[in-house]
Amino acid sequence: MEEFDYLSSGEEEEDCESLDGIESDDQRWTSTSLSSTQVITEESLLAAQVEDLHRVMDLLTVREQHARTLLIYHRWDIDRLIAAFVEKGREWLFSEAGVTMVESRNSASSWSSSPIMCEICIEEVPPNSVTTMDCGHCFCNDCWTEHFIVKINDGQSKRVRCMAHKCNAICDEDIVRKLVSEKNPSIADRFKRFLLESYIEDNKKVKWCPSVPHCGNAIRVDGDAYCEVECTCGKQFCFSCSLEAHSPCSCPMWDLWVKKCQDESESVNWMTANTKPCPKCNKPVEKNGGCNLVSCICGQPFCWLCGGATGRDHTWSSIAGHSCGRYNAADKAKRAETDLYRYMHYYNRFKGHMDSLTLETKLKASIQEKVSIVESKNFGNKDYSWVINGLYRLFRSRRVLSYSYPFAFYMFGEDLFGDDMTEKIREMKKNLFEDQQQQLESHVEKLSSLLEEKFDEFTEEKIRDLRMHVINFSVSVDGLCLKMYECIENDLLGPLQHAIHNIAPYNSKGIEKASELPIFQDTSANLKSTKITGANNALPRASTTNEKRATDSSQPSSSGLLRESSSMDENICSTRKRSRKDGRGDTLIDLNLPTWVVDKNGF
Amino acid sequence: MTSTSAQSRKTLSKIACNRLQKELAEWQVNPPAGFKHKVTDNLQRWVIEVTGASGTLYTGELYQLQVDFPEHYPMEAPQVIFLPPAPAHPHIYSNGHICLDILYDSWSPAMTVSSICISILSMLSSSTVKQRPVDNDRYVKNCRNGRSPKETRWWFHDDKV
Repeated sequence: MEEFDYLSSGEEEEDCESLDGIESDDQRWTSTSLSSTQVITEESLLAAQVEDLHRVMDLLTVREQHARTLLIYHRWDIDRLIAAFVEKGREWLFSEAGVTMVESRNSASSWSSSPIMCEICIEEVPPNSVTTMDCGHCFCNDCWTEHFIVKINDGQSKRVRCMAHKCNAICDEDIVRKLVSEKNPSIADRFKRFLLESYIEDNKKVKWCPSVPHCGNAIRVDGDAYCEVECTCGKQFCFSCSLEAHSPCSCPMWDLWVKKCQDESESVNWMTANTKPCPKCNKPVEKNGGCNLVSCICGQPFCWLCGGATGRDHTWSSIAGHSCGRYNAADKAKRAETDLYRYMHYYNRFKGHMDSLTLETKLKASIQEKVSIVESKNFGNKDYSWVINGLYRLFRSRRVLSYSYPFAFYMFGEDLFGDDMTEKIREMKKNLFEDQQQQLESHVEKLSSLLEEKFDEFTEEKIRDLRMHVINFSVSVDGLCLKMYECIENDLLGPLQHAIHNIAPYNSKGIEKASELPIFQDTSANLKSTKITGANNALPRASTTNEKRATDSSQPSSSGLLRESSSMDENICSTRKRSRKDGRGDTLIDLNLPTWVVDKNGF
Repeated sequence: MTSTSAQSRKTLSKIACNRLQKELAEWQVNPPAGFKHKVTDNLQRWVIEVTGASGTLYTGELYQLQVDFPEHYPMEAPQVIFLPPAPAHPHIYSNGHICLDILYDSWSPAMTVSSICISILSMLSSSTVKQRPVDNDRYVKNCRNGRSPKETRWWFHDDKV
């Protein structure tokens, strides 16, 4: 388990008496600097990959398209690419990825004026209508075009191979685009988009924002993939699993929980009536006939009457070495019932806190109203940011509290860690955790009640008092959240063998807002490209150094290529993910709201 | 054994037509040894007779290959199967499907019917035992409703045979 760098650790003032210390709490909700997560929009998609492309281009002195081929092959993992280069060498790296460069080859058309035989269509064609690929294979343009279109339609845009038998070379993307656009510009466009979007689709550091309808953005995370992010569209999600932000639940826990909540409501009744949990894997098993020896799909045989594990030897009326009386059978049925009650216990608390959060979001408007009333009273202190900060703290901790229940359900249940802890240790850890949870819970409730005070009717002195309390509880709630995470990290998940349960670290500030990726000024000129007119529709280039690249690609034009192509989306790529253009405004409140609250209230 | 795959039912593209006419013409002048094209007026489906090469397990045996061409031949691979009875071979299923990489993943537009035929004959000739693939029954059962071999995820056997 990794050490987490808690962003808040420096700000954990215990001396809440000093009001100056608290004022810095302000910064927590607004600061977006030093963000390790970035939003990649349609416009910045190329700029986002330019850095990677340039690194590869400089390292291996190759052209951009070869750098792209290499990067796509290595799934945009530069470190892996460089490791392969260092370990196995340039030649291996290139041939593996399908980058072939035949040196100092004369283009067939330049020295020959006699017709050339294309081996694909078996026709003689004039030398000006053939194309030789980097690998040296030469075929007629009609055949190339047909080949490209078939491959693009087949979804293989990212690795269009040469047509020659056993040739592993990836075709030059400029040639593909040029030839295809002469025959079918929309397919050429799709090809270009596929190449560009490879940076999102094939890159574990980048994911589409899961908003629905889709905002068109993707998010890049440079650090730990176990984190929660907020897109500029306002959608908050877990970067690791693309579901809603659910820390301190791990992704597998949340996945199980969501399914459980969906299934449970309808099937709980049926299941309790018709199934028994397998004594080994705990899956509910239904008996659909036969004797009382039931076999779970995990292989474990058990007695249907008492639910206890048995051997396989049995007759119609008895199981070898096993006997159970009626009394026990009832006992076990109770156990299944307990399982359900256990789930309900956690679910009700999870849901309860979510419901409170929904109600508390409504507080914001009334609080703002109260603040403006108090402001008009001209008291000494005119700064009321503490109310809003307290509210944000409430939202933040309410979420943590809420998600801590599904976490506890799995952490101390049998489903995931049944074999990882002894009963005694489990009980001990559960108590430890529940102590923390309860403490947090009571402070959160207190903070909530403080924020509901009708302070607009208070005297100046009473407001000073309330301010102190709100600030104190804000700080203590933050500290308690942090402690709970430390407990989870160090005492609960940390000691486990399999490290699949990673959780997004606690961030005092709330879910990190991804910052906008700048579209570099110096490259933006080259980003523009000509309209697709055939010969000049090179992929937008970002190079400023390489002359060769600059000359063939820096054709000025009135509009950016990426923008142009977006108009084709709806028709050609109905499944592509560019639809909603209207980003939500910069309202601050969404920082800590659960997504459904955000959606409902249309913040 | 007719493929239900939609693509092979579509009529041939212009490129495919031209190319197939050229291939047929070339075949008539210079057919691959051991093969005989059964003349029909259907350019999109060829039936080819194969004679087992002498000195091999299949010496003198006669089999029939059926080659169906897709709309975008040769950019797309043709579908090649043995018509029943298919030769007993570790890479040939009893329903006539052939496990040979060039017919699927390794197909290249530069290959021709002739070159496919030669590969298949060489595959037959190098066999040391007349037997079906180990997973024959399972595979054939899965293909019962006329599935095309091109829809199979092939896991190619060793290339020694």
